[in-house]
Amino acid sequence: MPYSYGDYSTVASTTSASANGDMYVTIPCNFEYEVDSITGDRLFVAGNGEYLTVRHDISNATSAYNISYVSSIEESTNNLTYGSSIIGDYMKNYRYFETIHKTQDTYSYYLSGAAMNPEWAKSVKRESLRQKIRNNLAPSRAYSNCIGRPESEEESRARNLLRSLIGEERYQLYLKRGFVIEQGKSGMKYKVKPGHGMVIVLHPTKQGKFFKFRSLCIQPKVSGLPPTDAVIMRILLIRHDEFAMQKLANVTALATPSAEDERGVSEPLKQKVA
Amino acid sequence: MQSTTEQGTRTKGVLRFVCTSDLSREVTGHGVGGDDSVVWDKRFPDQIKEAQDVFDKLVAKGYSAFLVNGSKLRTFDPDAEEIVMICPAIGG
Repeated sequence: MPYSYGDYSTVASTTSASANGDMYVTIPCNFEYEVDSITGDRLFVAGNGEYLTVRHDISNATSAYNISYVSSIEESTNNLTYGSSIIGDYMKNYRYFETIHKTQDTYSYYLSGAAMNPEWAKSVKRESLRQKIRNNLAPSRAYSNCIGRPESEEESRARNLLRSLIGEERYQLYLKRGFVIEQGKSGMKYKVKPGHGMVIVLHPTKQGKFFKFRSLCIQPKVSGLPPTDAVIMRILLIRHDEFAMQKLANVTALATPSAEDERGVSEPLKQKVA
Repeated sequence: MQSTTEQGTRTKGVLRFVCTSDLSREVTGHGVGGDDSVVWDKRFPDQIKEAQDVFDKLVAKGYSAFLVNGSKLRTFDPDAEEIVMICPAIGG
C-alpha cells in the first residue's frame, strides 16, 4: 500500500470500524474530504457538494469515539447511508484539504481514532505558511509602508532633493516601500527609513546575500524636520562618512556573522567596527 | 545683485547650495529642493561671499557639507555646482 499510518494499512472495503474507533473507508473518486485543523473532524465532500462528517471525539481517547461515518455507499445508485447523522455546520470550520490515497477508481481513507496525527500537523504548518504568503501578497500589506503625499512644502522640497540624490527609479521605490537601500563603501547595505526610523545594517555573506546584522539609531540633532530630511542625512553619511556614522550611532546587534560571512566585508571596516 | 537665501522661519536640517548662472530661473522655479536652499551666481563676488558666510556659520554649528555627487567638503567651494549641508547627527 502506498500510504498507511503506523501499523495500519488501508483496507479496501466499503466501510469497517474497529472497537477503538479506527476505521477504513473506501469511497468513490468523486468524494474528497477535508480536515478541521482544530477539532480533527474529517469532512467528506461529495461530488455533488453534499458533506458528510466523520467526527473524532479526541477528549475521550480511551473509549469509543463518537464517529459518524459513511456506513455504506451504493456506487450504482450513489445513495448514501450514514452510521449516525452528525452532518452539520462543520464545513464552516475546516482549515485545509487533504488527500490520503488514491487508486484508479477509489479514494481510501484511514480514519484514525488517534488524537494526534503527524500528517495533520504537517498540513497545519503548510497551511500556516500559505496564509503568511497570502498576507504578504495582499495589497494592504504591500502598501502599508507607502509614503503618502507630502504634508508640507519642506517635505516636498526634501523629497525633490532626495530624488536628485538617489535617482528617479529608487525614489519611486522609496515612495512605495517607505525606505531606501544604500550600499556603503564597506560592502554593507543600509536600510534607511524616514523620520525617527532605525537604520538596519545588512551584512553581506559569501553567497552574495545579506542578513540583518545591526540596527543603528541615528537622528538629526535638530528637531521638527520633515521626515525625508533624516533620510537625506543618513544617505549622505553612509556615502561619505560611513565609519563615523557607525561610531556615532546607538548600535543594537541583531545577529553575529559567521566566519564565512565575514569574508564579504572589507578588512578596513572590520577593523574599524571592532 | 544679491544672492538669494530661501530660508523659512523653522530650523534647517538640510540646506542645498546651488551655483547657477541663471539666478532668476532658480528662484522663480523654487524647485531646488532640500529643506532650504542658498543660491549664488559665481559671476558676482558678493553673492559668493554671502553664500560662504552662510556655509561657514553652519560649519561652525556642526553641519557637514557634501558635494552631491562627490565627497565631503571642508571649505566652501564657489565652483561647486551643488552642495548639500546636513545638520549634526546624534545617536538615538
